[in-house]
Amino acid sequence: MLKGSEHIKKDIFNRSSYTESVNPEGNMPAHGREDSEWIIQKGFQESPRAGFELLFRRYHKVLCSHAVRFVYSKEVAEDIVSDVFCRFWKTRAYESVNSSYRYYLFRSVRNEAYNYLKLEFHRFENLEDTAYNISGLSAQPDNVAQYEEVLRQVESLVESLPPQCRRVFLLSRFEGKKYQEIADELDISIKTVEVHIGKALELMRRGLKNHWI
Amino acid sequence: MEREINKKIIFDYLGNQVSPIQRKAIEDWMLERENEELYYQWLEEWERDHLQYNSDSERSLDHFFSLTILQNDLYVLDNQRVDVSRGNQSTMLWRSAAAVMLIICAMAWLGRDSFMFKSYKTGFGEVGNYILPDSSEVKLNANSSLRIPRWGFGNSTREVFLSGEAAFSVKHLNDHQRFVVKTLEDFEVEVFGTEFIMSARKYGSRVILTSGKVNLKYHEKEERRELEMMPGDLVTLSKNREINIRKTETPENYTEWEVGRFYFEETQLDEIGYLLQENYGLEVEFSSKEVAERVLMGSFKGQTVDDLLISIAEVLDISVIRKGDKVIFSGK
Repeated sequence: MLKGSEHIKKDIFNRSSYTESVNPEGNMPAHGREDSEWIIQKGFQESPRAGFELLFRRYHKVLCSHAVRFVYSKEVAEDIVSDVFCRFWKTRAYESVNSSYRYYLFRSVRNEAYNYLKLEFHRFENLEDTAYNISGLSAQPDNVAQYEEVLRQVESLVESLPPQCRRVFLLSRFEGKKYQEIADELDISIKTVEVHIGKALELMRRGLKNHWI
Repeated sequence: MEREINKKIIFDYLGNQVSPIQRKAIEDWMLERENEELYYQWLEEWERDHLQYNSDSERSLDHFFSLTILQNDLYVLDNQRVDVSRGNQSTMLWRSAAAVMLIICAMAWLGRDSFMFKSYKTGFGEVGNYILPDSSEVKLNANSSLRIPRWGFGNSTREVFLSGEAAFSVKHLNDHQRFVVKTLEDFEVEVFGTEFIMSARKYGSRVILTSGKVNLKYHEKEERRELEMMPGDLVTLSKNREINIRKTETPENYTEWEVGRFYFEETQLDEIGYLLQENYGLEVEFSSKEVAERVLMGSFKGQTVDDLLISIAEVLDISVIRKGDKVIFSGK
């Protein structure tokens, strides 16, 4: 029993075990876990570019979708995901990660998304706070649950917006539409659009106030 | 007693379908690193079944490679420069230079902003704090945006694009790299490492230098001009492109917006109207020309825009009415 769990542990933490367990024909490793990262791993052995393409194709969409649930903007979500992939590539993380790629990517994207929200909505009360917080900006939640909590809070805040306000907010922020386009689409004035956005942002800021680490 | 956490429970958790007791159990379970691994595996699966939207991954991938290939070529080019000084591989160099140019042109044509640039933005009434990749700090005032190149920022130049207002604290780099702030108005600031506040708004641009040295470049009557600023200098460029240089004893007052205060140095009320429009999206009207020309001085607290409106009205002894996004100042 003990031996068995150690085996799984090794699979999770030691990338080389993937290669060991891939047989020369390139079949699925025999450890039975539902995990297909070994294909990507093989890709990286072939060439960094081949591996990277596999990695990108596999995770780009899910990561964007995950990030957008934090930041509620396609543009920002894609920015964040691009950043993470860039860093992965530039630092040659594929040579050094000893977790799964998924672990690296999800963790990085969640970190970045969290930081983005914090910078956007965390209002500093006074100058000393600002100085303190800028140096302490890298402070991160130390467990998974805290990210989930922020995620849940963001979702319920957006949910709690009055319908028209939410519609405007999503068109502007999620879809990235210009105020003028939204005004035309909903047949309201630009000023009204701005008021809705301002209201939504203020609500987000207040609602997230107690959620920062 | 350990509860069994399985895929179904995690899916319920992700869909907000669990009780607080289950949530607590799951969150304890996730503290183990191997469980966290497993959690991301299920999260990936769940997210794939619940995509919020379908991002264009293929296009992003193409962009990614056109950019990384470009970077690699530049890198090759750098290495070859050494060879050129020995004087034999210049055709090779030209060939790669041409290839690079071709790629740059192709990219400029294809280039999607979000991949080429990283943007920092604030909405109406928001202030944002950001740290750039070179460790310079930027505070963005309301309704402002700053765009920096995602690629090669800090490698040889640091060029950013500002619209709105920001306070910069620029990090001096060992290789004395310039930091250039560009604006729409053909008005730019060039520094090495210093602190300054800059705004580029519809009603004009302004730079206040807190410490260090700043080079200002602008156009006046079709002529390119340069100006060197010293600490305490306040330069404004009005919308009809008149430049004005003053000294201010208290440059730090100009960043009071960072802490929800506003500082006005002999400012006409109509100018404050522009500011309210830019920062809060308000439409400001005055009952008469006299009211619009009233002059305000001093520092005003404005945690909320209504606070600010009220304190302005009190100081000038006028009345102010706000209806939604419309503000009217009138004599008493």
